[in-house]
Amino acid sequence: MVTVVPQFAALALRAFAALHPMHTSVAELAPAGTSVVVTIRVFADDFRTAVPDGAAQKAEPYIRSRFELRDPENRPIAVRWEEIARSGDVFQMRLRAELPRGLAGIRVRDLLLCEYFPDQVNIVRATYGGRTTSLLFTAGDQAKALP
Amino acid sequence: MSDLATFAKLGFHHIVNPAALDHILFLLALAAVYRREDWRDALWVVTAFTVGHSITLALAVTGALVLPTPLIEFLIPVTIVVTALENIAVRSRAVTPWNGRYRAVFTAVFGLVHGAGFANYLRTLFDGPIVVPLFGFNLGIELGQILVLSLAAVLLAVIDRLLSLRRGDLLIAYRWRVVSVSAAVLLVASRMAVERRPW
Repeated sequence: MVTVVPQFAALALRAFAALHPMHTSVAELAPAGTSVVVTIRVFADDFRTAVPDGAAQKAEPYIRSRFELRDPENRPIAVRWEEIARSGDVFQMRLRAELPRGLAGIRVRDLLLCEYFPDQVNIVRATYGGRTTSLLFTAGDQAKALP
Repeated sequence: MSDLATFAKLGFHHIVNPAALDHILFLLALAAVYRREDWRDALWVVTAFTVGHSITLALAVTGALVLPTPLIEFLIPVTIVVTALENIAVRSRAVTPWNGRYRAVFTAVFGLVHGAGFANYLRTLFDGPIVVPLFGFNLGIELGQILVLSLAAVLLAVIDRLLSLRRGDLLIAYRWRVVSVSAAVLLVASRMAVERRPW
C-alpha cells in the first residue's frame, strides 16, 4: 500500500497539471421583430485558442464555420455578423438572422471550440412562444431542431 | 430538451468531469473516514455540504453576493487541505467533540466556498434571469455528487479489503485507509492551493 500512495499521488498530480475549468459556451436566440438576435458568450481564454487575439475579422469566419442556422427544410439561413465585445472573462458576439416565421422548427448547429476541447459543451437557448427551450451540443453532434 | 434538463446535465457534467478535480477531491476527503456502519454521519455531512453550496450558489448567482473569483478558487483547495488534515489528525472520532459531528458544521461552511465556485462559473455565462439554470445546475450537481460518493464508497471498500487481508486487524486497516487516502488528497490539494494563491 505504501508504494501505491506515491503512484496515485503522481497520477493525480499529472491530472492536475492538465486542470482547466469546464469548457462551455452559451448561445441565446431571441426574436426581435422579424429577425432573431443570436448572442454567443464564450470564456475568453477558451476562445483565444481558436482566435488568439479575438479580432472581429478572424472571429467572424470562425463562428460562421462552427455555428449555423437552417430552416425546417434544411436550407442554410443567412446570418449577419454584428459585433464582438469583451466583457470581463468572456467574449460576447452578436449576430442576426431574418426569420419572419419565427424560431419553431429552426435547425441549429453549434460546435464552437469542440475541435479544440473534447469536453466542450455548447448550450443553445431559445426564447419564443412564452417559453425557453435548450439544445446541448458536444463534439460530433449534427444540427438539432427547435421544437 | 427542457431548460431544466439541460442545466441539470451541465451540473452533473461539472462534477463528474475530471477537470472538476477539486470538487471530486473534496468529496473523496469527506468520504475517506466513513465505513458502511457510519452511513448516518456520512449522510449528515453530505447534506451539510449540499446546504452550504446551495446557499452561496443562489446568493452569488442572483447577484446578492459578489465574491472575488481568485480568492474563491484559492479557498476551494484550502478546504480540501483542511479536511484531509483533520482526517489524519483525528485518530478516534468517538472521543472528539459531539462524537465527531462538528464535521457537518465545518463541511457546511466549506460548502459555502464551493458554492461560490460554481456560482462564478454560471454567472460568467449568463446575463439574464437564471432561476431555471440555477436550479437545474444545482440538481445536476447533487446527482453528480451521489455518483462520485458511490464510486468513492466502492473504492474505499476495496482498499479496506486489501488492507485487512494484509494487516489482519480491521481497525488498523481502517486507519491505514484514512491516512493513505487523505495523504494523497492532501498532496494534490496543497499543490492546487499553491498554484492558485492570489498573491
